[in-house]
Amino acid sequence: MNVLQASWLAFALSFAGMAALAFAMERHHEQLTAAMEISAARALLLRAVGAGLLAAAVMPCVQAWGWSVGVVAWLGWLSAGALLVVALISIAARGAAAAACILAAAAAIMAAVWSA
Amino acid sequence: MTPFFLRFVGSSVLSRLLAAVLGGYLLASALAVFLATVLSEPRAEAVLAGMLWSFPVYLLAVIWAFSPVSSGRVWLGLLLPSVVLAGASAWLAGGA
Amino acid sequence: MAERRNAGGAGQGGFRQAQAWLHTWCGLWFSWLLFAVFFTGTLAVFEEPISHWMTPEHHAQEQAQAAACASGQRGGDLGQRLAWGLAYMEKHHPGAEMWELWPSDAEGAGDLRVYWFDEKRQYASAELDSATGQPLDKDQSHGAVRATKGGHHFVDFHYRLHAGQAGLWVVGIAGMAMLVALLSGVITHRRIFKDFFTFRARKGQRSWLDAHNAVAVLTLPFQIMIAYTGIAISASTLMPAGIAVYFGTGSQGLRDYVVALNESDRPAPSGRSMAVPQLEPFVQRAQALMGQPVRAVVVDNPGDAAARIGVYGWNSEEEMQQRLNPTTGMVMFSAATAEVLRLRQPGEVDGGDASMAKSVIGSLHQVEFGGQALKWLYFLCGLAGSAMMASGAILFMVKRRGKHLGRQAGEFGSATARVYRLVEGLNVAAIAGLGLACIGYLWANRLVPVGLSHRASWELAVFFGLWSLALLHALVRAPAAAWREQLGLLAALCLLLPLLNWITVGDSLPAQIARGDWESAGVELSAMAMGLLAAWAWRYLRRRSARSQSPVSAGKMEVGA
Repeated sequence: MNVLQASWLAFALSFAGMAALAFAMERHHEQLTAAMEISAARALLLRAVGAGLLAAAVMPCVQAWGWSVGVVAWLGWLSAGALLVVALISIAARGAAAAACILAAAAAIMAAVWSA
Repeated sequence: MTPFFLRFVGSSVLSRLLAAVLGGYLLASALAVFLATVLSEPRAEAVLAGMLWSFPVYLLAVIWAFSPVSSGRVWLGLLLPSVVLAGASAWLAGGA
Repeated sequence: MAERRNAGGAGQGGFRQAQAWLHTWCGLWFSWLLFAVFFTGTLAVFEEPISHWMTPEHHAQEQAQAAACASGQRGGDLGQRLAWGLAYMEKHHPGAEMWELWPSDAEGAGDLRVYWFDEKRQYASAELDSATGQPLDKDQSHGAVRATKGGHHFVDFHYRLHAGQAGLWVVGIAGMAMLVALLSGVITHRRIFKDFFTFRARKGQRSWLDAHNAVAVLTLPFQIMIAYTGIAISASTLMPAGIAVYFGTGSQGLRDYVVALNESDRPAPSGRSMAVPQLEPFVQRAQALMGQPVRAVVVDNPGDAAARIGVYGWNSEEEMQQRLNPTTGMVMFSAATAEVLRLRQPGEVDGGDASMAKSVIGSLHQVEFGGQALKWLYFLCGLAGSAMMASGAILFMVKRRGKHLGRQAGEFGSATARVYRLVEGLNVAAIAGLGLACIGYLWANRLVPVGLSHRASWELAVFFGLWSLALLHALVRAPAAAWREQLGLLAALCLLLPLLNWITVGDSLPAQIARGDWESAGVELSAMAMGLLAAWAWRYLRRRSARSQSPVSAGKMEVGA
C-alpha cells in the first residue's frame, strides 16, 4: 500500500468514524432524523462503530509510514476528518451521513483490494 | 485617564501578572537547575532534561497564578518552592 | 467599587471563571503577534517550493544540471573530490582546528564545498569546482540570478521576526502565551465533548465562538505539540539557568555545554604533527557501516596526531518517510589508527534520552519526516491554528460591538471606546494586513528589478511596508470598510498571481503542470485558493453592509458597523 492509498484510506475512515461519533450525540442526531432523542442502544452502536473506524485508521497509517511517523499521521488524519465532518454537518447533515456511509464502505473495499 | 489607570493596573492584577510571569519563570528555572543536579545522566544531558521539563512547569505555574487565590498567596506559592529547589540544588551539588 | 470591577476578573469567581478571564486577555494581547508567527510558520512548511517559485531563472539551471548528471558529466568522482577538498584545506587553512568537506550530493554529483571556523569562530566556506578542484569566486558560484531570501523569509520571520536574539525572545514569550491560552481555553470550555462537532452558521457571535472552538479543539494535539516544541527548540536561549550554573554564562558557557553534550569524547591535540591521511578509504568504510552515502567529512585537529575523521551520511526520502528522528548516520575514526571510535546509525543520537527527546522535538516541529502527506497535514493544522487565533480576536470584538458604551463604565473605564477601536484596527491589520504582506512579498519578487543591488532587502521592505500601510489604513478607515477593502485587495493579489507570473516571467500554470513542476504550480494554486477564500469573505461582508444600510435592518443591532 503506497502513501496515496494509505492517505485516502486514513481520511475516509477518519471522516466516517467522526461522523458516527457526531450522530451518536443528541443534537446532531436531531439534525439528521428530526427526532428529539436518540435511543441509548443506537447511541452506543454509533459510538462503537465510530471508535472502531477511528481505531482502524491506524492501520493504513502504520503500513505506509511505520509506527512512529504513522501515529503522528493518524492524529493528523483524525483532525482532518473531524474538521470536514463539522463543516459538512452544519451545511447538510443528511449529506454528511450519506458521505460517511459511502466512504466507510469504499474504504473497506479498497483496503481489501490494496492489501491483497 | 488616571482613574482608569489606577483601576485597571490595580495592585491585584499587576501584582498577580508579575508573580505569574516572573515568579513562574523563577520557579521553572529553579526546577531546571534542580533536575540538572539530581538526574543521574551526564551533566549536560541532565541540564537539557531540566530545560525540557521546565516549560510545562512554567505553564502550570501561570495557570495556577490566575486561579482564585489571593495575589499574595501566588507570590508565596511560586517563590517559596523556587527557593527550596534552589537551596536543595546548591546543597546537593555542593555535597557531591 | 473595586470588588465590583473585579467580579469575574483576574483570579476572581470560580476556577473556570478565573481561567476564562486569563484566556480572554492572554489570548487577546498576543493574538496579533501569534497569528503572524503562526501563519508565517504555516507557510514555512513549504519553504522550498516557495523559494523555487521565487527563483525562476534557477529552473533552467537546475534542469541543465540534472541533464548533465544524467549524461555522465558529474564532475570528479568521490575520491577526486575528497582529494581536492583536502588539498585546498591543507594549502589555505593548515592551522584550523576543524576542516569540513561536503564532497557531493546523495548521488555523488553536485557541489563541492569546504567549511572551517574563521577568527570569530563563525562558519566560513568556499566552493570548489567539482570538475577541477579549483576554488570558485563568489561571483562565479551559482548564486541566484534573482537574489532573494525566498521562502526562508517566512522561516526567519516565524521564529525570530528577522530580529535576531531579541526576536527569538519575543516569539518565545508569545509561544508560552499560546500554551497558557490553550490550557486556559480547555479549562474554560465546559461542554468540550458535547460541543465537539458543533458549528451553528449565520448566528453572529455564536458562530464565531463555534468556529473558534472547532478549529482549536479538533486540532488540539497539534496545537499543544507545535507550541511546546517551538519553545523547546530554543530552550538553551530561553531557559539558560542550568547552563549558567553548570557550564558558565555567555557564549563560552553555551559552547562548553554544547561540546559536553555532543563531543564529550573529543581528544585534545597531542602536539605531534601528522598529515591528514587520504579520506576516501575512511569514507568508503563509513558508507558501508552506516548504510548511507556520504554527506560531510569533518576532520578534528587536522595536522595533529590526535586528529579524528567523522563521516556523516545523507538521509534518503524513503527512510525519512518512516523515521521520526532526522539524525543521519555517523562514523568517527581515529585518523592515526583508522579504528572506529564511534558508530551512530541513522536515527540514533550521540547523547542519551534527553538528546533524543530534543532531536525528536525539533523534528516534530519542523515536520522533517513523512514526506508530502505530512507536510500537507501540518499545513492544514497550521491554517486551523491561524484560524483559531484570528477567530478569537474577532470574537472578542464581535462580543463587544453591540454594547452601548455611554453611561456605564466599560472594561477600560473612559478609554474603553478608544481601546475597542484600536483592537478593531489591529484585527484587520494583523489578519488581512498580514495576508497582504505575504502575497505582496511574492508580487515584489516578480516586480523588483532583477539586477538591483540589495534586491532581497527590497522584497522584505515591500513585506513590512505593505503591512505598515495596512495598519495605517485599518486605523484610519472604519473597521467594516477596512475589512472589505483589505480582503478585496488580498483576493485580487492572490487570484492574479499566476497572471503576474505569466506576464513577468512568461511561465504559466498549465506550462508548470505540463512539465511536472508541481512546486511552482502548488504555490500558485494555493495562492489562488487563499484568494478564493478572501474573495468569498469580501463578498459576504459587502452583502452584509448593503443589507445593514437597508431601511428594514437599520433599526436592528447589526454585528459590525
